[in-house]
This record gives sequence, structure tokens and C-alpha cells, in this order.
Amino acid sequence: MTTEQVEPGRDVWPRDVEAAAAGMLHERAVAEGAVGDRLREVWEEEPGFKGFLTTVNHKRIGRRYLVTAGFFFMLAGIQALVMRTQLGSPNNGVVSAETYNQLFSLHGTAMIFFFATPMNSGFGNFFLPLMVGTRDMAFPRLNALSYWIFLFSGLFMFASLPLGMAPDAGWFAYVPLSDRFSSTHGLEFYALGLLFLAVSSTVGSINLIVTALKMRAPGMTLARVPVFVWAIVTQSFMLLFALPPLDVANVMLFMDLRFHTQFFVESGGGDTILWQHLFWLFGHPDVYIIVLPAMGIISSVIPTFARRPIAAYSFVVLATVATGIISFGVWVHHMFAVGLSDVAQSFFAAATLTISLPAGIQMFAWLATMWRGRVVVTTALLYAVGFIVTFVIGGVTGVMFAVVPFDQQVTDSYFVVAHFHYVLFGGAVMPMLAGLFYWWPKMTGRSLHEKAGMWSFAVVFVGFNLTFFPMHLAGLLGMPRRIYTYDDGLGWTVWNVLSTAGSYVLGAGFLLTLGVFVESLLRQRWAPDDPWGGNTLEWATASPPEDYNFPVVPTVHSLNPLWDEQSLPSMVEHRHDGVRTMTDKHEALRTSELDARVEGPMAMPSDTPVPLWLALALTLSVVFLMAGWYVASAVAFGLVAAIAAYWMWDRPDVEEIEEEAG
Amino acid sequence: MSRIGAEDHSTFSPVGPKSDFTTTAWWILFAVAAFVCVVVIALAVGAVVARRRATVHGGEAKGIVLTFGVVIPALVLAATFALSIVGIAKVAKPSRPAAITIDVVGHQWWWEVRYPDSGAVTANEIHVPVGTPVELRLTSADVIHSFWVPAVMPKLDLIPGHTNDTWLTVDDAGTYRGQCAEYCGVQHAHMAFSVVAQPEADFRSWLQGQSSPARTPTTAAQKKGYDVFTSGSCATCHTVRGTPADGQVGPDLTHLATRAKLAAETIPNDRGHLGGWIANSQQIKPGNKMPPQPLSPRDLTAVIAYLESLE
Amino acid sequence: MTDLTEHEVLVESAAAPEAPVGRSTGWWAMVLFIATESATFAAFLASYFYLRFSAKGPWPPTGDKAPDLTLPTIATVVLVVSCLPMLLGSRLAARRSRAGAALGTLGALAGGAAFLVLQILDWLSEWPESTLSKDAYGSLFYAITGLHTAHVVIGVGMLAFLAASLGVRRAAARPRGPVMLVAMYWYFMSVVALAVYVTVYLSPTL
Repeated sequence: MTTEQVEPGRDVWPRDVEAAAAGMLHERAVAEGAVGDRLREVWEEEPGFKGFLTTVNHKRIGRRYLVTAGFFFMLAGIQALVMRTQLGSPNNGVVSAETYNQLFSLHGTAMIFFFATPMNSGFGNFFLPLMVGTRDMAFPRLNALSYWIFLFSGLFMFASLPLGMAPDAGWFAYVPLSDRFSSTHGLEFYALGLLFLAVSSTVGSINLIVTALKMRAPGMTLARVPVFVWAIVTQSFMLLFALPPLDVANVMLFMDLRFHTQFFVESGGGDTILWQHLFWLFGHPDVYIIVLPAMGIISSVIPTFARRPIAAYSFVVLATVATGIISFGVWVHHMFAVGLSDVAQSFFAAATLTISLPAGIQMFAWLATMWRGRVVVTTALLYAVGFIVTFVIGGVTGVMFAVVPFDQQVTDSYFVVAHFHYVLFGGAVMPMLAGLFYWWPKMTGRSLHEKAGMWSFAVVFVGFNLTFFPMHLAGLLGMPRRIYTYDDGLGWTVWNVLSTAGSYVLGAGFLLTLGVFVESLLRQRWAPDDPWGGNTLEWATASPPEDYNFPVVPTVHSLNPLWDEQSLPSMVEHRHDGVRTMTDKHEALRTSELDARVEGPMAMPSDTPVPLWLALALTLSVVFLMAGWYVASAVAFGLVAAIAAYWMWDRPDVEEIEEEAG
Repeated sequence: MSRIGAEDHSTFSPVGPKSDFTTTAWWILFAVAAFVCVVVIALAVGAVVARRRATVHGGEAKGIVLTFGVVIPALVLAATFALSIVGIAKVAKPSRPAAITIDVVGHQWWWEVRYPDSGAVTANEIHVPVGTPVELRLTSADVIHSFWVPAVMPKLDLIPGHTNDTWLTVDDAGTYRGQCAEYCGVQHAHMAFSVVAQPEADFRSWLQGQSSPARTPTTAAQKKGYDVFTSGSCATCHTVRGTPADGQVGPDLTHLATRAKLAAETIPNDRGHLGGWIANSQQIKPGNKMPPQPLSPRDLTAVIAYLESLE
Repeated sequence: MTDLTEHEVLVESAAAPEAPVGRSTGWWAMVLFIATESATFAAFLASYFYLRFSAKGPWPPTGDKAPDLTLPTIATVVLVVSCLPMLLGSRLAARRSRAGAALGTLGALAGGAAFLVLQILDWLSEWPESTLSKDAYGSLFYAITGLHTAHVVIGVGMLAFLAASLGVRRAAARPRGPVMLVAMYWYFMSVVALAVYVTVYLSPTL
């Protein structure tokens, strides 16, 4: 392992020459020496609690996304453990049917919407600006707004549980069960909460795309953009086109529930299947919205630990973009049991098969990278390999669904539960853990206990497979999903007992992982700039990065700028160039979309509480809407508009005009 | 008719042309999938084991990625698609025209079963003749349910406002368990049913029995039960054909005593369970639509006696 | 296309290289925002046609007659025509004419306000015949026109804000960027208005 660690015991990350020898890249040390002090002054934010509320720094916001999404992951994980306990023996009575139904509905909703997608946003927020070599996101204040709205919508959704009004119609909330047949206000929480969250995801996606388009370091042409950045941009584009059908469906559902509209009511000329089309038109792309950025993490981790550039880079990029596009054409495979025409079924079966080709490309690109490189075994790499192993299992069972009668046999059974946990846990959680172990030193400035990390991987991996593999069998043996209990003697007991045991092992694995992170925060094993010998620009910054990320914006000469001969030295070369250092004002460098030529410095906003105010006003509006106080809700929305106007008045920049429209 | 014992409900023991296909498809898919998994996992783990001290090679390896990531998968996927098309064609129509039609209506949380040609109505138990294609017309009275008999046929949804036509054939006599597969509310877990495949003659006599009106009560207890049933709250929800009881909310009870189980296969149909169900079904299947019946012990015994006579 | 806000930054910066100046971040954000909004309206209009063509009986389902076309036709024309002063205003803004930009903005604002009045009158005339909860057509009618109208309200707010900032503010000496972005949104509103008109007003009469 190439890790060089500063001796423990220092209480402050020292920026002197000695420290440079211990872990600071030479080029960065020179650049910091030239402009670091000045930039630190320009980029300094308010300290303390006020600073906590007013920050617009992408790294703090990114970390917040990760911590908050991790918190929702824990809540949803605990719900899963309760469900597994209930199913641990036949006719068990740990929870009632009502509670169980709320648990699985909220578990799915929380994992998909409040954990997986925001977790990706967290990685994107923190690392996209670093990887493209810029100082912040394109719209830092909108970035803060996205985070606050995500947090408040998550709290709004989870508040339904203590109120006894949690959604109870499953995470895809099929009408009419969710509509005329829902007795509590759970589905109103569901529809409003998701609409509320969609504001955050939309704003965040636009921000990430514009950052990647306009703020790449000079020289970072499209052919030099890291796969992770491609993945985040693809995911963001997908969100922009996948969220609208979901939003429309949720508006209709909320109006059906509250105002007795007839969108999904057959007797009024509505249609129950419309919901399914709209939902899955979002829902299937959403699988890749979750999985693509996670695969992008894998494409970052594997080259570093195979000590060579990723194989077939252009194919991997094409595969990423192609996945994003094809994923909009496969939604009907979630509806094969609805009774659609044979022609529709054949078409969507074919589309479903096509989407596995890009996945195959990426899979073999990673394998080829490892087989043509020298593998350095770290916790991050083990999680990446764990991802490959689990994701291929989820992938092959996914291909099976293209055989329509077989899909009809296993859909809505535990076989499908097994499949999508292999895809989403294997395909997203494993890479996220790989990403956390890989980037932890960069995010926190501290090293992790590698040996303990590897143990955590082992326990998580075993626990995961023990939990979810038996579900394939339970499903084939006829066990439907979403049943709160089952009789003994149906042949399902043994597989459920195994699953439940596995879920406890998995829970222990996560506790261990959490312990590894906490241990690292308590110890002071300071991490160097580039602990792994990484290939992309985030490793050219301090650990953790300074507020301005790069003292001198480098020129990127290759796909692997830290491994070429020129990119890092360009930071030294340009250290007196005002366009690259921007020491006078709070500025970032704007470059052209395709070939990243310099267009000039661009003014960046400073820390401000306005995004928080706006998010709070919007929360009020949503809460009043939920409570049925429509006038109050409209007044609160007027407050949102007023704050947005103040935001723009405060600085007539172009970014805010878009916000007022939101 | 024999009491229902252990019921087959596994993909691995198919008893009809539809499930024959899904089971065959499963084994083909499983073999290919297992092969792919073994290769990929071996390559991934092998790299960690074998490449730790290896020399780094350059190159894009595009040929390898194309061959193993696109060309070979494309061939496998094309074959999979062919299998899918064959399957879609195979399950589309029975080999010969269906002899009888059965209407199945999903309710929260039980199955209404109607034989429109004969007028027979029952619940949660679908009798079919062995080896004969049967036409099924599926719809729902409330939310979406899904009809699934793992050993006989894959799923098809029951959707309010729509009717889904399909068919099934059972090749071996026996009882096969089915269960609602689309989450349909609080008691989704207790919405099972069974498909009972009988020789043609047995089926005909069963159907004849089910189409006839209810037996008239003979004993004093049955007569008392009849009075309580038809004049009390029972009749507002349940139908017993040939009596004034014509409620449309709950299952038709005209021949309740012939059924093996109660409450969509939640409990066996015997005196104790039946009594417990009538007195307070909410303890057995919390949230179901039948309110507790505050009958006096004497009335309860009488109602049970009456219902047990409904063969 | 040059952006004056950015251009001035370049002029001020002594070290600015002679590089071509591309689209601003704000321009991209507005384009992406319009893209996702288009998808929203597309999903709503697609839902309309889905329900329309899966209806087994007449349309509207209760057999009501289709809405009267007079008011909505005028309203749509007014909104589309209000793009002209907007276009003029953004041309003048590019020439740094604050007054011209403000006048064009006010012209568009007047058109937007007239549209809102006409739309409300149309709702009032429809309501006795077809309500939100009467049938799927009524639900779609009010939801789709309501969503579009809400967007026009926001657009009118943006125009008012823009006019105010052009009127009183020093920073408005460089009006081009903001005017261009508001104009983009305003043209988008007209395109949506046409789609809505064809869908909920015109198509049931065909």
C-alpha cells in the first residue's frame, strides 16, 4: 500500500514545509505558497453555528448530504430489521399487519428517495467540482437550497410515522389502493413529501450539469472527463426527465385524495393503469439514477487500485450515457402481469434485454482493468469487487424478467425482492461503501483503520448474501412479497429464518462499519493529499480540501491528470496567472462546454442564510397544505416568492431568475 | 371430496402447460445465469488473488471488452428473447378451446368465484376438470389483486374496471394453492385460495351441487340458525341462494360446508374455527371487512349448525 | 452569443485571454429548467390523451359538451402576441437600452395580465358546467390549465420584478442577461399555452 501517514499526535493539520514533506504534493505546496494565504481570506466563511446555517460551500453541503442520507438509511434499515424479525417465524406477532404495511412502505420510499438518490447527490456535490478542477458548484446558493429542501422533505415524510399516518400502500403506491381505498392520510404525506423532495432533486440536477458543462479546468475536453462525472451528469439529466411523470402522478393522487378529482377513478372516466405508466416511467429510470453514479464510483476506485487507467474508457462513457437513454424505454416490464397486449410485452422484453449490454461493457471494462493492472487490496477495492460479485447476480436475474411468462411467475414474489436488493444493495450500497472508504481521507483529512475496514466488508458481504439469497428460493416456492406473515408448512419457513439471521449479521456489519468511521474521527491519523496514488484531480487538493479547493486551477492534459507529466506542474506554472488564481475576488473559472477553453473568471456568491429561509418558507407552505389550511399555504408560498425576489434583488445575477420560476 | 392437505404451490412442480413452460424456462435461465455468474465472479476474485504482484500493462483492451461485454452477451440475449417469444406464444392460447368459463372477482381479502354457465357461486375454491382448458375472466371489486397459482399458472392482475381474460389447464388431479400477489391492503397476507382439479365426472357433480339452491334446514338447531341468519345482520352481507339472505358484500355461503377452508385459506372449516370466526373474525384476520357478531351462545351454536348443514 | 455581464468581467480582468465567450451558466440553467418543465407538461398532456383514448364512452365522460372556444382562443392569442414586446425588449437590452428593455418587459407584462384575467373568466364560465370533481375531463381541464396558469403567474411575477429592477437599479445598466432569461421563460409559456389550448380546448371539439 502506498499510504504514507503523518505520525499521529498532531492536533492541527500543519501547512509548513515539514508537513509538505510528510504528505503534501510538491506542486500544491508551491501553489499554496504563492496564493494560499490570500485565497483563504477571500473564501473564508462565517465560523460557528451561524456559518453552519449559512454555508454555500459544496464540500460542507456534500458532507451534509452524505450524513443526512446515511441517517435516513439507518432509519429505513431499522425498519427492515423489524420486518425481518416479524418474518423470522411463521404467524409471528412482533408487529401488527397495519404496522408491517407502514414499515415496508416507508422502508422502500425512504431507501429509494431519501437515501440512495441523495447519497449520490452527496458524492456528486463533494467530488464533481473537485474532479473537474473548480472551486465550487455553479450555483452555490441553490446548492444550499437543494440540501435544506432534501432535509426538510425527509423530516416531513418521516414525521408521518410518529403521527400514525405513515404511507401504507407500498413504495409504488398503486391506485386505487392508495387512492379511494386509503383510510389514513398516509398517501397524502407520500404524494406531498415526494413532490417537495422533487424540488430539491431538480434544482440539484441542474446545478450539477451546469457545473460539469461550464466549470471544468482548462484542457479537460470531453474525452478527459472522469467516468464518475459522466455518470453524475447522466444521472442528473435522467432526473430532469424522470421526475416529471412522478410529479404529475403525485399531483393527480393528491388531488384525487383531497379534492375528489377523477384521475384514477374508473367510474369518473379515470384509469387505474395510468398511475402505473406514470410511476414506472419514473421508476425504471430511477434504478439507473441510483446505480449509474454508484458505478461511476467503481470506475474511480478500480483504476486507482489497479494502478492503470480504466480500460476502454470511451466504451464505458458510451455505455453510461446509453443506459440513461435506454432506461426510459423499459418501464412496462414492471407491468407484465397487468394484462397488456402480446405486442407490447414482446417490445418491452426486447428493450429490457438491450439495457444489459451497456452493463456488460462496464463489467468487463473493470475486469479488464484489473487483469491488466496490479491490484492493490484495500477496503475500497474489496467493496468494489463485492459490488461486481453481487451486481452480476442481480443482473442475470434481471435478464430473466425479459422472458415474459417467467416474469409473470416471479414478479411480486420474493424472487423479485431478492433481485432488486442484489441490484440496489449490490449495485449501489456496495459502491457507496467503496466510495466512502476511498474518499474518506479526502473528506475528513483522516485515515481509516484498513484492517477493521476489511473486516467490516467481510461481515457486510456475508450478511447481505445470507439475507437476500434465500429470498430467491422463497419466491420460487410461491411466497408473495409484502405479506406480514405466513403459515408454517408452506415450505417458506427455513428460507425466512436464514434471511432473518442474515439481516442481523448485516446489521452488525453496518455497526462495525460505523465504528470504523467513528474510530477514524476520534483518532488523529492525518491523511496526506494523495493517500492512494489516485488518478483524478480531487487528489491534487489538501485533505480535507481548502475552501477554494485549488489554489491554482490546473491545466488538464489527460484523463488521468495526476498520472501524467504536465497537469500537476501546470499549477506551479500558472501560479502568477490572475485568471488561474483569482485571488482578488470570490471567483471561479468559466470554460467552454466541449473543449474546456478558458472563458474567464465568474463571480461566485458568498455565504448567506437566504436559501435556508426560502426552504423554511416552502416547508411551511407544504405543512399547511398537508393540514388543509389552503389560505395559509398560499400565504406561505407568497413568502417563498418574496424571499426569492429578495434573493435576486440582493444580487442581480442570472442564476436566481431560474429559481423564482421554481 | 377429500379434505385439503398439503397443497402444491411451487415453481418446481408444474402441473399444467403454462407452468411447464415457466419451469423449463427457469432451468434454462438458471443454467445460463449460473455460468455467467461463475465466470464473472471467478474473474473478479481471481484478479484480487492473482494480480497483486503482477506487472501493469497498458492498452485499452477494447477488443476484450467488446467481445465479452457486447458480442457474447448479445448472442445470449438474442436466445433469451427467442425463449421469451416462444413463451408469450405458448401461454397466449390453450391448445384447444376452453370448455368452461369461470369468473373470478377479487375482493379485499377473498376471491369470488362464479360459474356463469351453471349459476354456481362460491369463494376461495376454484374447481376445474383435470386436463381441460378453462377460461378465466378476472376482475376486481375494489383494488388491484393478482391471481397466482405457482404450480399451475403465472400471475395476472385483477383490475377494477377491466376484465383480464386468460386460461388455465391442470394436468394432474389435486389441490393447488394460490395467493394474491399484488399488495392489496392490510390483509394481503391472508388472501389465498385453492385450485381443485378433479376428474370430469367429479367436477360435474360438484358443479351441479354448487348450482343448486341451499338445503333446507332439517333439525331444530338448524332451523333456529336459519332464522338468526336470515333475520340478523348476516344476511345483509351474505347470500344463501334459495333463502331471503341476499347480501352482496361477503362470500356466497350457499354451500359453505363443502369448502375446506375459511376466510381465504386463513383457517380450516371446522366447527371451532367457524364459531370463532363468526364471533370475532377481527382476532383471526385483523382489519377484514366482517364486524364481530355479538350473538348469544345459543344463537351462535344455532348459526354454526345451520352453516354446517349447507353442503 | 455574447453576454454582457460576463463580457465586462472579461474586460475588467487584465489577464483575460482572447477566448471565445460561450453561453453563461444562467443560460444553461434556464434551458435545463425549461427542459424539465416541458417534460412535466408533456406528462400531463400525455395523461390527458391516455385517458381520452382509453375512455369507453363519450368524451367528456359525462357527455357534457366541449368548452366554448371564444375566451380561450383570445387568451392564447394574447399570450402569444405578448412575446413580441418581450422579443423587442430583449433586443433593446442587448443594446444596453434600459428604457427599451423596461418598455418591452411592461408590454409582455400587460399581455400576461390580460391572459390571467381571461383565463379566470373562462374558468368562471366553465365551472357551472364542469367541475374539478365531476369527471376525468373536468379534473384534467382544471389541473392542466391551472398548472399552466400558475406558471404564467410566476412569469408575470418575474416580469414585474424585472421591470422594477430595470426601473430603479444601478446594476440594471447591464440588463441583457436577466432580460434574456426571463424572455426565454416567457416564450416557453406561450408554447405551452398553445399545447394546452390544442389539448384541452380544441381536441374535444374535433
